Amino acid sequence: MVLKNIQRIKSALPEVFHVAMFYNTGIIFQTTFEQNINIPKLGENLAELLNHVRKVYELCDFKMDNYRKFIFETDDVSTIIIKLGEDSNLALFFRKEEDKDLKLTGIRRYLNKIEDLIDTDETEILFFELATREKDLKIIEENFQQKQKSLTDLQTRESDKGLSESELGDIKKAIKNLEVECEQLRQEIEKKKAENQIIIQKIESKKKSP
Amino acid sequence: MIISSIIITSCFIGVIILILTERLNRAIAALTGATITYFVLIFMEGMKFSVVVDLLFGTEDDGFVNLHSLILIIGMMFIVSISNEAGLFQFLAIKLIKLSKGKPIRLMIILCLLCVFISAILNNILAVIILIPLTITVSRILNIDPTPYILTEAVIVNLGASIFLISSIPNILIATYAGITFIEFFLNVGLISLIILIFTLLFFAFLYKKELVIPKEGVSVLEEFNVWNLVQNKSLMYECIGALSILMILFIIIPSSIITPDMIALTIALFLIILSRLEPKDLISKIDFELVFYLLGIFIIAGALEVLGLLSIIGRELSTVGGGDLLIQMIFILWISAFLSSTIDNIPITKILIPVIGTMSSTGSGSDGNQLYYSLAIGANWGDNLTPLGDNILVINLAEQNKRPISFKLFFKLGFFTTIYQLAIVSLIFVLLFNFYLGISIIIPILFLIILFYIIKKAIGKKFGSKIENVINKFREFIIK
Repeated sequence: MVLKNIQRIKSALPEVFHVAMFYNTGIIFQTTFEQNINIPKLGENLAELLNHVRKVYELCDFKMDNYRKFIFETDDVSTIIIKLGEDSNLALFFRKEEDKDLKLTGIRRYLNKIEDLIDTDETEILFFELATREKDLKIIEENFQQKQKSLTDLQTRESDKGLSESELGDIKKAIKNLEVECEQLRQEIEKKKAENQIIIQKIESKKKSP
Repeated sequence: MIISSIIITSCFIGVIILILTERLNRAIAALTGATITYFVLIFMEGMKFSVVVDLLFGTEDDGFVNLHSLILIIGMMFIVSISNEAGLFQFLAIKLIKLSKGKPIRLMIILCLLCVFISAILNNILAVIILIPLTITVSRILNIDPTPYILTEAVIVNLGASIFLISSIPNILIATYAGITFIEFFLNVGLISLIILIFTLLFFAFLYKKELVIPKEGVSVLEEFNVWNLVQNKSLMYECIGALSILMILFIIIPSSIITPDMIALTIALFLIILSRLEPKDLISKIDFELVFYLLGIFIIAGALEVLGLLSIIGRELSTVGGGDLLIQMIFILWISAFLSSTIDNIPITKILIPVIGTMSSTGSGSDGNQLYYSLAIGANWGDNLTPLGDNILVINLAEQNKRPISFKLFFKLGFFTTIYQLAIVSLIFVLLFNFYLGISIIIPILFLIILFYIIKKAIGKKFGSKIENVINKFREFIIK
C-alpha cells in the first residue's frame, strides 16, 4: 500500500530519484535508497535537521506551530522534506533540472494517503476509543431498557389479586433483584457517559491546539 | 568514631535526598559526599590516604571487588554501545513485532519478552530507550493507543535486570562482593525471574484481554516496514551477535578463579571495538561517565560506613530478625530492599546492604551460602516499580517526547500492584523451597478457592458467576483505567 504510493509519487514527479519516509525519532519506514547507504544514520540526520531548524526558530523567537516543508537546494540535488502526519515526514530528493519549478500539488493526495497509513494522529485514536465506548454504552443501555421492561411487567403482575403467597414472594424477590440491577446499570451508564464526555473534551482541546 | 559515623551517615542521607529531589546531578552529589567523607577519615579519624584508594578499588583481602565491578561495568558499556549502534536490537524487535500478526495480546507478550531480553543482555534503561519509541512508531502504523504496551514494557523491564549477573549494576556489585559466578547467579536468581516472567505475562493478559484491539488494515501496513532500515551495517550486526554469544559462552564455561568476568567482558569489548572499525573517540564519548563517577562516590561513602563499623552493627541487629530463621530473613531482605529501592536509587541501597548481609550471613542466619544475596538481588532490581520515581521517570519522558503521554497515576497503579504480586509469588517460592510443607499448606487453600469458584459457577449458573466476574472486572478496571 505504502510502496504503491511511493511509486505513484515517483511517476508523478519523474525528477524525484529518491524518497525516504521517516519519523521524528529518525526511524525510516520506507525508502528507495539501497542498503549500501547507512539508512539509520540517514533517518537520524534528517530528523536532526528538522530539530535544528526548530531550534533556530526558537532562538529567533519565531512562531512555529507546525512546519509544512523544508527545502534545501544545491547545484545537483534538491531536497524537500514535507510534513506528513503528526510525527512523520517525507524526504524527496530531486535531480536538479534547470529552471523547472517543482509542483508538489499533484502528489498531495498520495501524501495524504501515506499519512493515513503510517501515522495515526492522537485524535484518531480518541475517536476510535469513543466509538468503541459508545458501542459498549449502547449495549448497556439496551440491557437497562430490557431490565426496566421486565421490572414494569413484574410490578404489574404483583398487583394481580389471584396470586398465591409463594408466587407473590417470588415476584417481590425478583422485583427487588431487578431494582438493584437497574440501579447498578443506571450508575454504570452515568459513569460511562461522564467518561465519554471527558474524551469528547480531549478531542475538542486537541482540535483547538495546533 | 561516633561523630565521624554521624557525619558520614548524614552525608549518605544528604546525597540520597539530593538525588531524590533532583537538586544536584547524582554524580556530583555522590562525589561531594565522598569528598566530605575523605576529610572526615583523614582529619578526624587520622587515617592514611591509602584508605581512600582501598575504598575506591577494594583491597587484596576483599579481592579488589570495586575495581572488578568497575571494569565489568565499563566493558559491558562498550559492548552495549556498539550493539546499539549496529541496530541489532531494533532489528530484532521489529522482526518479532511483525510475528504478532495483529493479535493484541500476542503483540503485548512479544514486546514484554523483547523488553526482558534486551534488559537482560544490555540494561533496563537502554531497553526502554530502544523499545518505547519503536512501540510508539508501531502504534502509529497499527492505529492503536500505545499506552498499555508502554506501561507493561516499563513494568516488566525490571525482571530482565535480574536474569544475568551482567544485567544490572546491583547484580554486578552483589556477585563481585559475594563471589557468585555467572551460572550460579542465573540458576538462583535468573530462573526465579523467568518463572515470575510467566506469572507476570499471565497477569497482564488477564488485565488487558478485553481492552486491546488492533484494526486489521494497520497489520498489512506494518508488513511493509523494512526492518533492514534499522541496521547501519550488516557485518557489524553479525559481529555483535558473535561477540555477545561468545561473551555468554565464556561467562558460563570459564570459572572466575581462572579469568574474572570483568576481564572477559573487557577483552571481548576491545576485540569488538577493533573489529567494528567504529571511531574509538565516539565510542568513548558514549561511555556513561556520570554513572562511573556516581559509583566511585558511593563506593567511598558506603565503604567508610563499613570501615567505621556501622554496617556491621546494623547487620548484627538484623541477624536477630525472625529469630535468626533463614527463610524469614530472606523474605525480610526481599521486601525491605524492594521498598527501599522504590524510593531510593538501588545502587547505594545495594552497596549499603551488601556488607549488612555479609554480617547477617556470618552471625547466625543459618545461611550456608548466598541465599540472602539472591534475595537482595531480586528486591533491589524489582522494587523500582513500586513508585514511578527514579528510572521510571525516563519512560514517562520518552512517551511525552514521542507525543503519546502516559498518566503518572496509571503507571503507579500498574507498577505497584504488579510488583506486590511478583514479590508475593517469590516469597511463596522461597517458602516452598525452604519449608515445603508450609508452602504446600498455603498453595492448597488458594487452589481450593479457585476450583471452588469454578465448580459453584458451573453448578449455580450465570448469576453467581457474573457477580464474581463483576468484582474481578472492577479490580481490573481499577488498575488499568
